[in-house]
Amino acid sequence: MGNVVTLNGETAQVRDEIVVKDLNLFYKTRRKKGKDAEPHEALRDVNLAVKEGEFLSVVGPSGCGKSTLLYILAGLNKKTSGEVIIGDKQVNGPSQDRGIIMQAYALFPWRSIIKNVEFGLEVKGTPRKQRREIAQSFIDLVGLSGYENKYPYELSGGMKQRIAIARALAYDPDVLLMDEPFAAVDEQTRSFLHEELLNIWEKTHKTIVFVTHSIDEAVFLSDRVAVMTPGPGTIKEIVDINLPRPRHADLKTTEEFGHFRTKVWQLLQSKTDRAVAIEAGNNREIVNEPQDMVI
Amino acid sequence: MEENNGKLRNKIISIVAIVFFFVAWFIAGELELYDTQFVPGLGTVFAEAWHLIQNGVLLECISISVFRIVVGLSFSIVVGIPLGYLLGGFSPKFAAFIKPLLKNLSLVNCFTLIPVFILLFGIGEGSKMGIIFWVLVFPVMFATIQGVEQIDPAIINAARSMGAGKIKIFFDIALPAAATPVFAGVKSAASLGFLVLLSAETVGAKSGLGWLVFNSHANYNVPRLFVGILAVALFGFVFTAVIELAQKRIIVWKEES
Ligand SMILES: Nc1ncnc2c1ncn2[C@@H]1O[C@H](COP(=O)(O)OP(=O)(O)OP(=O)(O)O)[C@@H](O)[C@H]1O
Ligand SMILES: [Mg+2]
Repeated sequence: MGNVVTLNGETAQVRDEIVVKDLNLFYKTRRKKGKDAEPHEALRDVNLAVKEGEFLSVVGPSGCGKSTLLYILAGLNKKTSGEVIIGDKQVNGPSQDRGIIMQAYALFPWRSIIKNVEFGLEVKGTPRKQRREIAQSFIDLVGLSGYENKYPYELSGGMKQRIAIARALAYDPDVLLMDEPFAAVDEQTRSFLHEELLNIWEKTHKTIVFVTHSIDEAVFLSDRVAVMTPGPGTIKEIVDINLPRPRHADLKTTEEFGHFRTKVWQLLQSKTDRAVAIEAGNNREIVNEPQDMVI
Repeated sequence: MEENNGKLRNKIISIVAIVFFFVAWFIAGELELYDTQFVPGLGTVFAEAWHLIQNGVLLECISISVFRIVVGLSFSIVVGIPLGYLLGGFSPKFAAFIKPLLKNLSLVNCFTLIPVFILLFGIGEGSKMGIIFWVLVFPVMFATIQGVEQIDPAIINAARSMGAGKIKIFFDIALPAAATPVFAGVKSAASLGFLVLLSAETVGAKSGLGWLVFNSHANYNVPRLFVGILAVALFGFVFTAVIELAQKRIIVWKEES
């Protein structure tokens, strides 16, 4: 539980939507020829709490386990030990109380845009007519009315990502998990999508966990920024971003913004000895073990 | 737009070339510009074709060949695609284990199996369609396994993250996501099946296009031989066109998520 001061000065209790306790994850790996398999430690004792309706970003060096953490929250990766609670429930697998948005869009190429957005509602069992209406309203929300009957290949990268967001919002999850969603779009589109995402967040009151490489992006969007250490990833520190909302692109030129950006940057710079050693050389070959159930 | 224009131009050029070829053949034959003993003029071939149409032989040969390949191919699709999905989708470990065995089986020369098929299905249609089935089921199955293995894991994850269960993922994700390679497999199986059909018909059959060609050759009926060859070419052309049309109808999207 955390305390938040509301506009009229009262203190209100806000519950934690996501709680991660002592989370560890080891990947199965295979060493180069002749050597034994040795699990690869991707996350070590991760502790994190995200408040309901909060926008939290996770930054950290490449390979530190950001995606791994997000996939565990999504229920797509199995943890090795620890506890993950979302809402009031233990996470044991994917569920419609969460939505994930990936860098690679992962739209279904054989479905029209509106049918893509309807997917989660089909799973939910929403009747056809309602499905259409809801999907349409989210396509409108992300500003792509008129594209309902196009196919993903007919859209630009930025448009695809907006549809991926609409698809994740349509079945009304409480938590939105985003893994570098804007890494593949150009600077201008990204800036536009930032404001749009904040608008949507303010309208829908979702709890958002946002993984990114970009310090600017993290500071601009978030209430708090969690900085991770190089692998095995742990949460090094969480920085409160006390910048006023609603935020617009010109915020990025202000001194306060610069202050937070520098703070996060410095946290990312201070390397541990272990991190230096890892960067120097890592001969581990990582493989995807075939899983018994792919589909 | 320009791409379309280029395609149209290529199509026109190839049609013109074909027409020119037949016109040249016809004229050369009529004027006896070459020795028509081994390659009869097109006029003679058409006269023979007309004869075979009128006595019903040509139609019978074509329909029996169509019947054989359609049934053989259909069976290999009905068996090969589900098997491929099961092996590729539900148990990749088992697939990796059994693949070498299946590869070996698929390499068994189908003609050495003719006696086995005759034993199994009798001397009639069954054994011929059995051969076609045997030759085609493997490429269809392997293409399907490969298609399923190639599905972008991000797409499966996207579906899983939205709460989709195994059945929904199978029918709504795996099936369409692998459709393009599966179709490619069916297409190459079909052209392979066409070859197998023709050779199977020269071995033990008393009907079909392969038999028509082989029998005409045996009886030195050269015009009939050429009717057979032209019919085979036409049949092959229509056959691939039908499959390509089906593919265009089913796969209306482009592979890019
Ligand atoms: N399927 C896997 N099997 C084995 N190891 C993996 C697997 N996926 C990731 N890893 C390893 O786990 C560590 C964390 O990976 P992860 O993808 O979570 O990093 P990340 O922080 O998201 O990196 P990036 O910023 O580059 O996306 C890395 O060392 C990576 O090599
Ligand atoms: Mg990542």
